[in-house]
Amino acid sequence: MRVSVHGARVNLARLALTAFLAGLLMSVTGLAEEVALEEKTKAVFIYNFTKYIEWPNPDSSSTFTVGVIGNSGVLPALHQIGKIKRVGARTITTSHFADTTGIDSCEILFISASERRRLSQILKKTKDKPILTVGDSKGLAKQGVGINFVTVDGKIKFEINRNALEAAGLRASSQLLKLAIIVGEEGGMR
Amino acid sequence: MISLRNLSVKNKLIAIQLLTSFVVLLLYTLFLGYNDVEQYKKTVIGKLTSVAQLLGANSASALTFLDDAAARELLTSLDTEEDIVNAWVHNADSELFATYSKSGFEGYAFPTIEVGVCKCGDGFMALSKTIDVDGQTIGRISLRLNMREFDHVVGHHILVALSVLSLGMIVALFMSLLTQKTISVPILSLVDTVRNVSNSGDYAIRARKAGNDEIGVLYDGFNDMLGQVQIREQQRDKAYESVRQSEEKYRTLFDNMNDGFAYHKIVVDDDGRPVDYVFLEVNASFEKYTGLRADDVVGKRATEAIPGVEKSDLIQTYGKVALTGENASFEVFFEPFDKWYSVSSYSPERMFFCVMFKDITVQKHAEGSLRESEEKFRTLTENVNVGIYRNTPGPQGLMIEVNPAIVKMFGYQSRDEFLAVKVVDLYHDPQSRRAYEEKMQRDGHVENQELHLRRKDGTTIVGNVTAVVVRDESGKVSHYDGIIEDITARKRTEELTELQQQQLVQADKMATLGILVSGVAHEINNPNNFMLLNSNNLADVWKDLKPVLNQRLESEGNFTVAGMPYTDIRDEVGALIAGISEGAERIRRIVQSLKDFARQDSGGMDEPVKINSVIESSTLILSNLIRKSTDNFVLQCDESLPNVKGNAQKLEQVIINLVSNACQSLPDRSKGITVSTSYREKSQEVVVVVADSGDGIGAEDLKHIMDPFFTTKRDTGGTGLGLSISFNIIKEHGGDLRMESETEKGTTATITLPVDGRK
Repeated sequence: MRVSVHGARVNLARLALTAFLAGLLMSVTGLAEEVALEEKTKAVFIYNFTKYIEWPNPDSSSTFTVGVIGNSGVLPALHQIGKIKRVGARTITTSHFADTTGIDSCEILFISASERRRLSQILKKTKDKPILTVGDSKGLAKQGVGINFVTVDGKIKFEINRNALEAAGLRASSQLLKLAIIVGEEGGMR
Repeated sequence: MISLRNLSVKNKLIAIQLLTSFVVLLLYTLFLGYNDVEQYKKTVIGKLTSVAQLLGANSASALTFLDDAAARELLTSLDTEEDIVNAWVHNADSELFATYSKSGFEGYAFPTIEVGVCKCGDGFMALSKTIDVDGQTIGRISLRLNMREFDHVVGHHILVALSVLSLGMIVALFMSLLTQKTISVPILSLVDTVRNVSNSGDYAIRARKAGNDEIGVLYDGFNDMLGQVQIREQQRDKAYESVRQSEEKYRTLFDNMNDGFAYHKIVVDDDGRPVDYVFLEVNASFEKYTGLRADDVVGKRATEAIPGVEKSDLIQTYGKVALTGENASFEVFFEPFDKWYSVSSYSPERMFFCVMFKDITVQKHAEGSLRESEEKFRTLTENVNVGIYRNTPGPQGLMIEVNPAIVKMFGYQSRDEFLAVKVVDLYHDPQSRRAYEEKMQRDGHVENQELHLRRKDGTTIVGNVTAVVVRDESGKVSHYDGIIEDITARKRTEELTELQQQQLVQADKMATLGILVSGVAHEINNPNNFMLLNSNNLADVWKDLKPVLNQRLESEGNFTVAGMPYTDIRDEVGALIAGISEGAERIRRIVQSLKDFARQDSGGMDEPVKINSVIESSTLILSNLIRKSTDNFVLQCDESLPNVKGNAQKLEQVIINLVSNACQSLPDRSKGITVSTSYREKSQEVVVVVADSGDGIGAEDLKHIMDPFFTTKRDTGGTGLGLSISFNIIKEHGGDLRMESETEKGTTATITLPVDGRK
């Protein structure tokens, strides 16, 4: 009974997700089929974070820069979104970084799973700067990344390190926090 | 439904008040109930909307991050909202994202409703709101509310309304029972009075009023009406009594009246045409005038009672009266009785008629003979050639009655035209009307009075009038009756005859005078010739004797001749002889003139005449008269006058006439006479003017001086012919004689004579 309910929920969620993304990305032409559903979802989530997080200096630039360090399927998906969406009045610029050089010019920095090795180096560079760091590997939030994608029961969820956000001068809304898995740097789930 | 009309006033008032209260209360509670329910509905919808908004906002992030578990958890917060039994969250593609159901309401299908619209039904209300993030719709939340509480509220309201209504009605009933008395009690009291009056028939009863409202007015009106009814009642009794008396009186009258009276009913045929009538009632006089007995005719048809009645027009005439109601009055000769009747008929009601009649046979016969004699008389007056009239007295006077002859006499077209003319206007001289009037009043009549009267065309007629004054009973003059004969023609003939006779006498006289004068002239002429001749001889004798006698005087001294000393007469003798000679010469001239005047040759009218000579000889003849009349006789003769053609003797006669008239008009010798002659080159006329400064002639007389026999000197032997003859003579010569005169200033006679004789 419980299993069937659980299964039904997963199927329902997946169905919803598929339809949601199809609706969102239908207008994106030339969308590569090879872009994985998971990475597209993550790109959409990254975009949606801008609606629930406040940057300390919202009008410092006319562009909102989303950077991706390392190689990830999220980058092309973000690029597609950046073409059709805005953050407030700001246009979205997508930047790719092979190394840490220049990463501190972003508003959001997505740290590909491959860049886990350079995490300390990256965090050092972004420390005390209004940059939302988004990780994509298990345990990154505990290590000081602001938001980290995790998969729970086959569903994409995200962890939030409130201290990291506070240190970066970012304010997450309660709506976001309510959905997130809150982690501290000392560890321990809420 | 029970008719309200038959309810008593009291119940009506209660019913009306109850009905009014009921309607008012019902409307009030209905309005309040409706208002409350609407208010409640609005509140519920408001609450539902805010819940939906809150849940939508809270589930937005869950939708964004595809966290259906979070959304479901959120919806469980509805556990505290007792009435919201179902909730659904759909994503932007209308796919169900999360759902919630209270126990007992699971499995309820999502109602397909529009966003933002409330849908009620099946005891539920549903509402759907969109979920928006940053102006973008990302999903939709729908809630379903159990209306159980709403029904409860409505039920409660109905209960309250019913209670208020019932309580209100009870209060209203109580109030109306209390208040209706102020109206119903006086009305019921009035009703009692009415019953009382109608039961007792006593109209002296009066209602006693309580107030001065409309009911009070009703009381007054009712009392007034009762008063009037009472008065009418009394009047009716009185009238009834007088009718009874008068009926009795008329019955007596009917029986004793002088006129025959009969009451009938007309009988008509199938087409409604009168064919007969039935006697219903007749009086005593009827019997007397018809010779029929009442018993024999009453109830019978006329054709039965009076055989032969159908031959007269009576049935038709009476039929018309009975059927149309038009009265008829006529005189009829009724053959069956051989009598005349004067009949009046009227119809008291349709089909019935009364006849009142009188036997007038005797009057009819009398009338007949009177009419006959009147007719004769009328024909006589109309055909006679003498005007017969009757007019009113007084200074103006109006004709009342005239015959055709008088109308014709005065030249009027019709009798009416003549009757419109005032009598005074028929006179030429109003004075003579006055004189006539005075004479009539004084003597009471005139007889063969000749009056100069005026016709319509203004010409004069001489009427010979004989008239008498007619007086009324009081002795006042009522009118004049008279006859008038037109004697104009006769009068004119008479005058003409007289004139002719006078002219004849005059001519005869003149002829005789002519013969006499020529005889005398001849007789005087012979001895006068002796005197003329002898006086000349005597002068010669004296001429020769004188020196001889002078010698004797010288030689012998003075001596006497015919008793006078010679020296005294010596110088006179010559003058004496010259005087004889002169006198004889004058006699010769006068005799010559007389012979000329008296010469009775009607004479040629074409002998050339020297006017100056005519004037000379005329003045010579008249020299004695002239000398006696004036010291200022002036003769101004134009010596260059041409001759006129005519008769010298006749013209002389004219001049003598004019000059002697002038002499006679002079009051004393200081006044003068001027006789002048002149010639008008332009018109080739010789003009003779005889002007005097004597007494003159009045304007009225001046008009008539040319008329024959008009004279102002009848008493001193004037014939009135002088000027008339003179005028005729001048006319004979183709000339003109005009007289101008002014009283006290003198008269001027002007003769114009054409030089070439007759024109």
